[in-house]
Amino acid sequence: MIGLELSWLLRNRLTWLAILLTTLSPLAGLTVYRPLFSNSESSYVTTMQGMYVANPALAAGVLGAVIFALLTVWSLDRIRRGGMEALTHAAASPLTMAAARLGALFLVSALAQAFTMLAWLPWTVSRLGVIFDQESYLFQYLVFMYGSIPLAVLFAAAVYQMIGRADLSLSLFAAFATLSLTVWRGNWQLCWLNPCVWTVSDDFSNYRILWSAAYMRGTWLAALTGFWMFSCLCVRRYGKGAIGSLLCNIRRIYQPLFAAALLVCAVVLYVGQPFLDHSSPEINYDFLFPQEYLETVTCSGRYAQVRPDPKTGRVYGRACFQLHSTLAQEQNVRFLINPGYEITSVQASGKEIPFMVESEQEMNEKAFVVTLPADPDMELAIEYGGYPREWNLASDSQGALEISNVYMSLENDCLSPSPYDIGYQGETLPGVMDLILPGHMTPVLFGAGTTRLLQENGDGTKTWRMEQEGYHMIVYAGDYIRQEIPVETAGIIVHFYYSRRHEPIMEALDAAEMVRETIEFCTEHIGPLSFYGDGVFNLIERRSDGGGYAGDGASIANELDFTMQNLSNNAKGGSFAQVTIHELVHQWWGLGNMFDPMDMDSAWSAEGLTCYTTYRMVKELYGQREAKTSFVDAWQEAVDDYYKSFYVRHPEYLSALPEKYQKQIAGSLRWIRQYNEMPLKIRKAEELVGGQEAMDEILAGLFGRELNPEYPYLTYEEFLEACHLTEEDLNLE
Amino acid sequence: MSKIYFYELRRLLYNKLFFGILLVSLGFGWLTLTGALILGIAHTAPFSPWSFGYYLSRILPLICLGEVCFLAFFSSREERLAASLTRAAPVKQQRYLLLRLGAVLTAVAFLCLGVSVLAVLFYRALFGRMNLGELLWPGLLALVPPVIFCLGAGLALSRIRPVLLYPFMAVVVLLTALPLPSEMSLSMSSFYSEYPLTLEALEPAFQVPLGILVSRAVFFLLGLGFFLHF
Repeated sequence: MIGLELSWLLRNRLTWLAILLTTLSPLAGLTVYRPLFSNSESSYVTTMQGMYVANPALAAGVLGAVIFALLTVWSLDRIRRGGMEALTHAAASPLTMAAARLGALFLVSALAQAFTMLAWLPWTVSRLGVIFDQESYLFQYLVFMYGSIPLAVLFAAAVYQMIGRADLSLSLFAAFATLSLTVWRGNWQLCWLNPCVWTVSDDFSNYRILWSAAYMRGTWLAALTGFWMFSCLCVRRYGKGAIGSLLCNIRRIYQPLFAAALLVCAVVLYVGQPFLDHSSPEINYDFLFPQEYLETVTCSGRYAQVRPDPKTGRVYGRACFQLHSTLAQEQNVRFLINPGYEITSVQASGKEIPFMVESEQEMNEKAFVVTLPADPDMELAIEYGGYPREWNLASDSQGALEISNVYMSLENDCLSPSPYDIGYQGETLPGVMDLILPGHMTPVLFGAGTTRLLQENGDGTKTWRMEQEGYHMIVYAGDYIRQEIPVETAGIIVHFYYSRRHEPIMEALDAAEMVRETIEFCTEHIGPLSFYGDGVFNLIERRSDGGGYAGDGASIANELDFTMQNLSNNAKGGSFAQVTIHELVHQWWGLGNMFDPMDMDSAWSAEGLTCYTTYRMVKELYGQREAKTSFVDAWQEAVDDYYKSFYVRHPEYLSALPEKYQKQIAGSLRWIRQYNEMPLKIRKAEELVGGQEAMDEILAGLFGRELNPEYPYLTYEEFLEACHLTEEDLNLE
Repeated sequence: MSKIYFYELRRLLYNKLFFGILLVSLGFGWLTLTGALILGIAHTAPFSPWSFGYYLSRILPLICLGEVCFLAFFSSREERLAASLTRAAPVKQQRYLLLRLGAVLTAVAFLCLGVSVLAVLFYRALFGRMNLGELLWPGLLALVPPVIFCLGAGLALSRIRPVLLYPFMAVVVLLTALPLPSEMSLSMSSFYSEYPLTLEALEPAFQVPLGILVSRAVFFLLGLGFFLHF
């Protein structure tokens, strides 16, 4: 039966037109529909794979779905159009016919997919060069493109079978597609047509985002297959209408049961997705940072053995803490861990002890409480494991917690649990971790600390020993190479780690020179960094996610800063790597000088001075015009928008809104104030104090000031006082 | 005559097609209200004429698609088969056609009313006071010319060949979805979201430049022209 349907479809010119249009549809991803994040406002900049594989595949997914929905309705309607229903029903069961037509449409769509992938392969290979990876090409086209076509076919077929009208079926499909492209666009589980893909990496792997998109499409596949099976009950029989046919068809009880099972399965998949946590939308720093530590328990050391599994993306580990109690009775202590992990056992000095996992999740952390025995000294061992979950706040930019055979991102509590409110016994806390990695991977420890190969294991893996103070470690692993960049004026050596795949581009971009110039500029204008004991500073390229961060002794280099497009765009000079420069500057503002993290609502944060310093550096190195365009004009535009915002002008309306809208709007406004308004104010202060040199003196004085150990943060009042200005002086309105 | 009109109207309104489109329009309207509109369009209040016009412009494709579906309903194969009976009735065919188009327009008016009432209820619930009168002009501007254009063009195409209504649905979607200049766009979303930013005032009173007025008049007259010609 399928053969007959397939043969009929393939003999029809419209089918071949649909295949041809689907094959051409990736063109839209190169021109008009480029959903991936762009790292630049002046031109479209993303990774090479994003540009030449992901965008075309995503566009082909959208257009292919529309084309095949049309083909489906047209093909199902042809029998009715020809008035042949009675004849075909006499020849075969309507249900069998429906299944055969669907199967034939799936086979045609698979043919179109195969043609598309083969047709675009040579061109993609030529564009990507050494970056081309056939596995990545195959998976991206299958998941991003082909994932949508069977869904469109199923939906269109189901709706047509239920209502029996081509016009209404197409209208409902249009509404279904429009919902995905508009209202559901930011909801990664609902946007069936256009999956939320932020970036794809050239240098590292993309399995997590591919799994996430495939999971979303799998959920919809279950739901729409269930819907289609229900719709089969409405396939017209004996000249009856939809209801009459339903009553007739429902006698085969297994069919509605199977459909219901599929719909339940879709709901279970939707609710039980493993990729994101269930953190509440509020930012609750109290959940992560205690107001004060326990007085009765301290920790004198920690050790962890961690084994990430590159095949499944899961992490297994055992974390040990040397605890000391001054209380002669049982007491509860709290730990934080990634919400995706399960705690399998907790032992105190070798004996199992009770623990309870709290249901609340905040800021990508979940807590569990351990009841410590009344021993004065003990070794607390926690065994854990699972698939790490990302923060639901960033649901539309997933992929950061990649764990594969190519790349691993193991950050803080994704690596091992940490105590919430247990202080160090001494000034510092020695931390040791043994990390078992595939033999070809090199780990890079973020921040000050040491890494050495402990042993080569018989199964092809290697155990690396890392030592770093504190409860947390951040490790990236991959095929990294290290470039040493001496910065003589600052007295430090930068270890620049980047993927071996990216070596030719890094050399062509002269990235090392950009790093050196940034550090020299900040050292000269603000002051030398004094907290690197060994004079080594790590700059680490990680899988692109549009941003970065900095920590003690290390900064993140954004993969998107160093793309082939930046290399070919000479007009931008060296200022292409603004995210990386920004993160380097955070070594001065944010780490060298700290800002109160609890001061959530204020526009004053490390970002203001960091943005201002980045602007100054770009101005000095790449010219006034570049700095004005990239910074001042962009800030001014954002601030103008901010002051004009309806809710800024009428806060009474904001307070009248439901709480969830208040939080959403207030959060976006705060971001504008910190990243745009404050740098503009600092620039205004620069003019008022007499120019750049005077401001440099002030900033250098603030940077090198004597710290109050009880409140070591740099405040806005201190800044204003140093400038001899008032808040009103810096008003921009 | 009124009997025929109400009969045709009842056929449209008591139809799953109408309820389906109304339901989808209301659902989409709700999502638009709670998504983009609650932030306010072009720095204006969410309940400003600009925001209201933007809201209607987002839903307009669905309303226009609904209108074309209603036309397709009256030019379907079954209707054409039944035409030999209606032609035998003692009613002029032109008048019968007019009555049917009146029924289509009424059904579309119900759709427009439904989504407008939804917005008004939303405004009342969240913001309390509002001036209904100032929403009238942007509402008419956003809805009337496209609705008349789709009615006329749809009628013309259905008279040439009913199947042409389906490609016309795609044209309607393209005319609203593509980033065309406001003058060429059927929905004018960009006019409501961008034009107020070019005006001096922060909360500008609703005003329409000549180009937009002309383009709306052209859409309106084109629709009327198609209607009169066919």
